Amino acid sequence: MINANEVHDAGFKVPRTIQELRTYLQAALEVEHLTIPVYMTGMYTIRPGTNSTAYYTIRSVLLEEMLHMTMAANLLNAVGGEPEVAHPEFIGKYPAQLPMSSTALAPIGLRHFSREALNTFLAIEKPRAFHTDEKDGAGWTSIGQFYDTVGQGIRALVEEQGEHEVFTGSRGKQVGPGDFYNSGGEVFHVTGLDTALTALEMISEQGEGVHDSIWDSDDQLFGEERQLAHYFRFNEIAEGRCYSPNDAPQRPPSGPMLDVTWEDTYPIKGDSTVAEYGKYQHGRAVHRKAVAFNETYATLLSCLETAFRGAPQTMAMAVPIMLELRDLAQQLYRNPHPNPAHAKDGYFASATFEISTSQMEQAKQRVADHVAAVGLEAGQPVDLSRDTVGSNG
Amino acid sequence: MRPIPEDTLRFVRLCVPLTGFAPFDLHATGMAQLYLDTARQQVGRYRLDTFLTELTEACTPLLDPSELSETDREIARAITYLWYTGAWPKLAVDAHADLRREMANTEFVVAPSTYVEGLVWRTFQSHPVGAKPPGFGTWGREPAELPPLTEIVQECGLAEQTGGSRPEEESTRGERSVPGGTRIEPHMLPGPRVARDVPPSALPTARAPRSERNTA
Amino acid sequence: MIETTTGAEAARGSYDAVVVGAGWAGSLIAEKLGRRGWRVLVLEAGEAGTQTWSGYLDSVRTFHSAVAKVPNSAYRHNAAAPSPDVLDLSPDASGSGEGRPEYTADGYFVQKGKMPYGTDYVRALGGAGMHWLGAVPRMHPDDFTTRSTYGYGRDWPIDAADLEPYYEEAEKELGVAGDAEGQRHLGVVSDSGYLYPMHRIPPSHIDKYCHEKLEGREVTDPMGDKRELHVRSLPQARNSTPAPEYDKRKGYRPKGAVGLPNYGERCVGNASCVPICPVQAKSTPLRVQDGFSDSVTLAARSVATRVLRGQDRRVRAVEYRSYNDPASPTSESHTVRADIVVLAAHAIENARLLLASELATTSGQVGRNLMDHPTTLAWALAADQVGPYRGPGHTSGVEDFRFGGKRRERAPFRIELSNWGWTWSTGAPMSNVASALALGGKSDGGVKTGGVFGPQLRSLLGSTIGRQLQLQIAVEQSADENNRVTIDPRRYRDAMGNPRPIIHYDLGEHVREGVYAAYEVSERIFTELGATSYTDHEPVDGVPPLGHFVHRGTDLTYHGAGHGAGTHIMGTDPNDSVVDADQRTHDHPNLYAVGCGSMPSVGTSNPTLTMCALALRSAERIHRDLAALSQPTNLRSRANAEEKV
Repeated sequence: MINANEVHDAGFKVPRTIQELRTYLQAALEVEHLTIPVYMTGMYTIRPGTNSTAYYTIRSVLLEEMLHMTMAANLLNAVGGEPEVAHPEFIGKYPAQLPMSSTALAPIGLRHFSREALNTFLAIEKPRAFHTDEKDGAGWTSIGQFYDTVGQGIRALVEEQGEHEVFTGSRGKQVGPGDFYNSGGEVFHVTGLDTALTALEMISEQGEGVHDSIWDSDDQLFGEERQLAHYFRFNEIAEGRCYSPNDAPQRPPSGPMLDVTWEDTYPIKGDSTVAEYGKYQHGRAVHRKAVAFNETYATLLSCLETAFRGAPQTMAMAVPIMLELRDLAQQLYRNPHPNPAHAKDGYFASATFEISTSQMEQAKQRVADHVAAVGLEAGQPVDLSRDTVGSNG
Repeated sequence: MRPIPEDTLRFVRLCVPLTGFAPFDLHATGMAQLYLDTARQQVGRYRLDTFLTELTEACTPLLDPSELSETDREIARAITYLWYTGAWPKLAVDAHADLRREMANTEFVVAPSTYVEGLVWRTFQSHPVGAKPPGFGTWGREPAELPPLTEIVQECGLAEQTGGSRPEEESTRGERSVPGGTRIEPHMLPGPRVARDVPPSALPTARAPRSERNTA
Repeated sequence: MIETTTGAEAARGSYDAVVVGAGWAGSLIAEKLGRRGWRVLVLEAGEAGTQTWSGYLDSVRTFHSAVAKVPNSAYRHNAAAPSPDVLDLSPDASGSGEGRPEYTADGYFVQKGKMPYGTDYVRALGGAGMHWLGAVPRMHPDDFTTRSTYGYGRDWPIDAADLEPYYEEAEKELGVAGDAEGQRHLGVVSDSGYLYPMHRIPPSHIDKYCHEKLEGREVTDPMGDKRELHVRSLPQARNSTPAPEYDKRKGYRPKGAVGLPNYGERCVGNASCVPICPVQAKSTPLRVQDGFSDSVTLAARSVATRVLRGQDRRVRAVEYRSYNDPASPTSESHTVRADIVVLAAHAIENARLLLASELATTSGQVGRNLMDHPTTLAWALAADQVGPYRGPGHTSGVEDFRFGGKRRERAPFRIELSNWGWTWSTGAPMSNVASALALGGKSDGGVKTGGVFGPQLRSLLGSTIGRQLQLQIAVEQSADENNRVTIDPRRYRDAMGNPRPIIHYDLGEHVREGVYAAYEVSERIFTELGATSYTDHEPVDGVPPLGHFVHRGTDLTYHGAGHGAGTHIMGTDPNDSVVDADQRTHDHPNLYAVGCGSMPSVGTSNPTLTMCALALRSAERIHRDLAALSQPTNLRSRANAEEKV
């Protein structure tokens, strides 16, 4: 992570200057991204043909995190910042401490689909109302609280300096619904105070729910079908039971049973590294694929950065890369761990989410070349016929 | 925690010369155990063991199918078909009779997920129809290049020894031959689907193209 | 969220209108009437279930596990409301050469014609709108006047200009992605400023490959019709990028999946539109049902059995049977009254109901003029990898033989460039694996010799599957009284006791000439493409393939396109047509029969869009009828009502 840990370490504080606000929003991008490898691991370690409810639940949250990341970028662009994504430090080191949250929270690790993984997910998405220690001056307690401070900061800055002085970013850098699709909620342009606050509201309420309810606000904001907030979606899986429409947030779900088979999973070692895979003669293929996965992930981050830095149409190239990562990840999880001792214990290989500086530099170059070659134009029909940026798996 | 059983690991290794896919790719389907169970069920546990032993001997390391008995050859085809399509095929009637199978000799898809994990889609760098979608607009991309035969042999670890059926390397890239040099005979291609209810494994093979039939 | 109820529950309500069938036409009409506040009951004969995400996934899995991935393979068999299936037909060698049919039929349809009617539909929530491809080209102005312009078929009582505003409305309701400029070139879109709601679906690599080799080349058909070829983008009811300038810059918001929030907002290339789009980026009637107002009641497992006659020439009620278990023949009968009855159950089902109810009998045309787009397939291996089995079924076509020229002599045809390889023609790619392995045995039961394994197999398949090209050529079939649906309730009934459709079907000379010309053109196109044709319509081991016939000494075959039409065609004269231009039966002022059954001709366009445009047009008329019926009684309105009756 680039800024998030710094913001965390500086302690609870409302951003007072535009520069601080930008730092916070960059941190927001990183925090939203931190969850993505965690949820990907949980989802793609599910054995094929099993746990389909859990699979679609994790998928829906994962895609909403992608959306949050994109909205954080829109917010940052709106206040004249420059999102940084294609950076080797952008990905956290797992297990990672969740920034801007209580230090009592256990570190977030890459875990296969399991009760423990669901507990991690619940910890990440825990609503503010469930934190008993939250009050000003008590330090960071939750992501929700962090977004509140961002909102407060924006309001104060607008009051102080006027909307035009705060929202100085170019509209052309905003990612819109035409660029980003098939995910929770909806991407929209952030151009002033109102849209900025709506964006913050959407990000926190998709996660933890509208105040004192189990539902998110997508139905109110976008006319979507009513949907549970992340925490409660995960809790259904953890409890093996659905919520009833009138269930209260503090109570366990009371609806019908939901089928979860915890044994239908590929157990992994969350701290595996490509270097470790490389040590085993039998692990050559796994090593190659794990490296390919990381390179593809670097390509994804480079595409996203390009999209967030003035060429939003590049999102069209990013989505197929995410789907390629799905295929690569599933292939890895289904192979025995290259370390024979781990394999004997029933562990499988995994995607390691490690990116070196040189891999990132190569990915950036590759993406730059391809973006030029594909020649996507804003507002024009998508044509990927000259796109070969993915498909290195 | 369920480690992959030793007999399943062995089954995967033996399926490499059948399929032309490396153990990594076979494991990557997540279907190895289900396929071994299916083959045991269809052929009989004991008979499958015999087959696997015969198969080991016929691979040097590439498979020479003429080294297999007729029934073993049909089993080899069925298991390969299973990996490629996710379905157990209809067998030649004589092989079905020889195996004294008690089930109907019809093609069936083992499970919804076996269809999704079929390897046939990988041979031309695509995805199963109706699953693993590659994303909006990707169908406009130029198809990815296919690996040359030598690379596949290498990747499968089948290159150490020279077997009888070792394919000739040719550089000719004609429409009637595979990059590896096998000439495409019409009988290697499917013929018209005379009716929709005939399963793929029971369809006729192609006849020579009209252009060649007329000149013949 | 779509709510459905049972037939028994629905019988307790009272309704202004009863709509039979929850496919595209019925759903659109119900939605429009419901929005105006009318109480509407929609009766769906088949099962619901796909409106929930788990039910929809069940359909996806049913498709995955089907050996024959035909259009109905995603939808479970239902004995209470059986559907015709393309698997019902088999070739029959015994008939060849003796003038007897070369096929047998063993399914819902009783087929007695010389040739097989190879078209299916599905009786389930959403109807055939669940398994359709989503191709939505408009009809050309000439298609409405084939009798007066070209001397064959029947003319429409309305023209393309009458339908244009409804085409636009239908394109909005369905959510169409298309290139309006290309369609203007073809002459099917006339409004110079019109835009489709979404940018065209990106063309496939196959489209571009063919474009490079075909664009501007001249091909002459056997009748001497010389055409310059163009590869044109196909309008599709499939989510793409919304066009910001659409609808006076109001833009368009794509509708996503029903039953799962935030899903399916754009096509992701599953390449399985038929039979099912796993993400619901393909438009289905479920989207329309999702927007039903509270005044619309949707009852599944409710099989309409008769429309009951009332006083004067009016109809008064619909009789239907509800069931709980589709595998059991037990059912319960109900009757529900309505001011207006709308049959929207598919051309063949509408005819079956009218015949069973002995209604709309004046013209003697009910059930007659059954049509389809007989479709001939052509397949070849390209010299290069072309990337088949990716993207929607087809994204471009060659439209140059659809209009003008020799249309008087031979039926026109539309050439689809398939993105799905040889799958329809040969069962590829699975059958490729079987042939390459020499699997399945010889005809005497012996195990085959030969076959390749391992790296060679993988390489052979990669090369031969990756180069598959297929043309699907849909030929216009004109109205012919002898192609018809009848019933014989004493002899042919389904498990619930309802009469099964009896089909008499054949291809006339004009269509046969069209199929023949299409075949010859396909061979010339393959030559232009530098591809080796493997098209083969000849008998195999003495068995003629389904849909086989010989024309001008050439073996040919055709398949059903799933475009059942005719059976209650529209016209101005009550003596030779069943419904008027508003799809109201001439005989009964409050009985409508809507759908492709009303079409006097089908041109070479996939008919769903035209059917939806007609349904939207009828919805306006039905609303006016209902409004007139509910006028408070006063002298003036009574006078009006009498005038109408």
